[in-house]
Amino acid sequence: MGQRWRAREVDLGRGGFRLATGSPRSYQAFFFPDDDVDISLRDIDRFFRIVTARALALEQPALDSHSFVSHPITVRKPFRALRHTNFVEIMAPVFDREGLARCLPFMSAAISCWGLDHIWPRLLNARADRIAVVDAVAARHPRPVDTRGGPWYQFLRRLGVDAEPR
Amino acid sequence: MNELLRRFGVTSAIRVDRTVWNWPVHEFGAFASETPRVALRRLRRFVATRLRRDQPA
Repeated sequence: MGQRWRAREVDLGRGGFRLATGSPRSYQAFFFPDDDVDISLRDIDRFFRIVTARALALEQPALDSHSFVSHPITVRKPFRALRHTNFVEIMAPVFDREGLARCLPFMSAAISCWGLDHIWPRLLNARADRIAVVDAVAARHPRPVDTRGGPWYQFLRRLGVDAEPR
Repeated sequence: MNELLRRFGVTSAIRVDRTVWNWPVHEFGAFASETPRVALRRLRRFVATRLRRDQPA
């Protein structure tokens, strides 16, 4: 997925981040959903309103009950606005500007990107109340992670990268 | 990979540190971020008040 991050041309330092309007410095938060994450534009707007109002550094929308889930902590819980955690999954993270600048070199350097989501909170060294899974907004992950036949994992194998979790 | 994570100082398991609650009962007052115990107490008080009010004179 380092390749994935590269494909997104994320480069805050040189302003190479290709956005529809403005430079990266004019944005407060950056959302990187995988291509198989379903979330409506309305929910994305609501999500951004929540994360900017609460000044979160790293967060993700919770996954609804129809989703394929890798980490149970990301499943939406009822009657919660959000849960402050020490983990945000790589599937759909949102970074604030400073957080992205700090984590970006590691994203670009990694190839498979397995484990990146575990080190982000450590890299950010953020207060516990700045990292969260936001239950007020839900996304859906409708496909299971296919580490055998999925195109991303086939691509990694061609590069000689073993991305199987151990 | 676990060894690699340890080298980055990742030693603790995934956990929830704090929950911000959001009760769907706004007419009871400001519920956001209240704990279940406080919310339940408020709910009981609300129901009791409502029952007293709705009793015929």
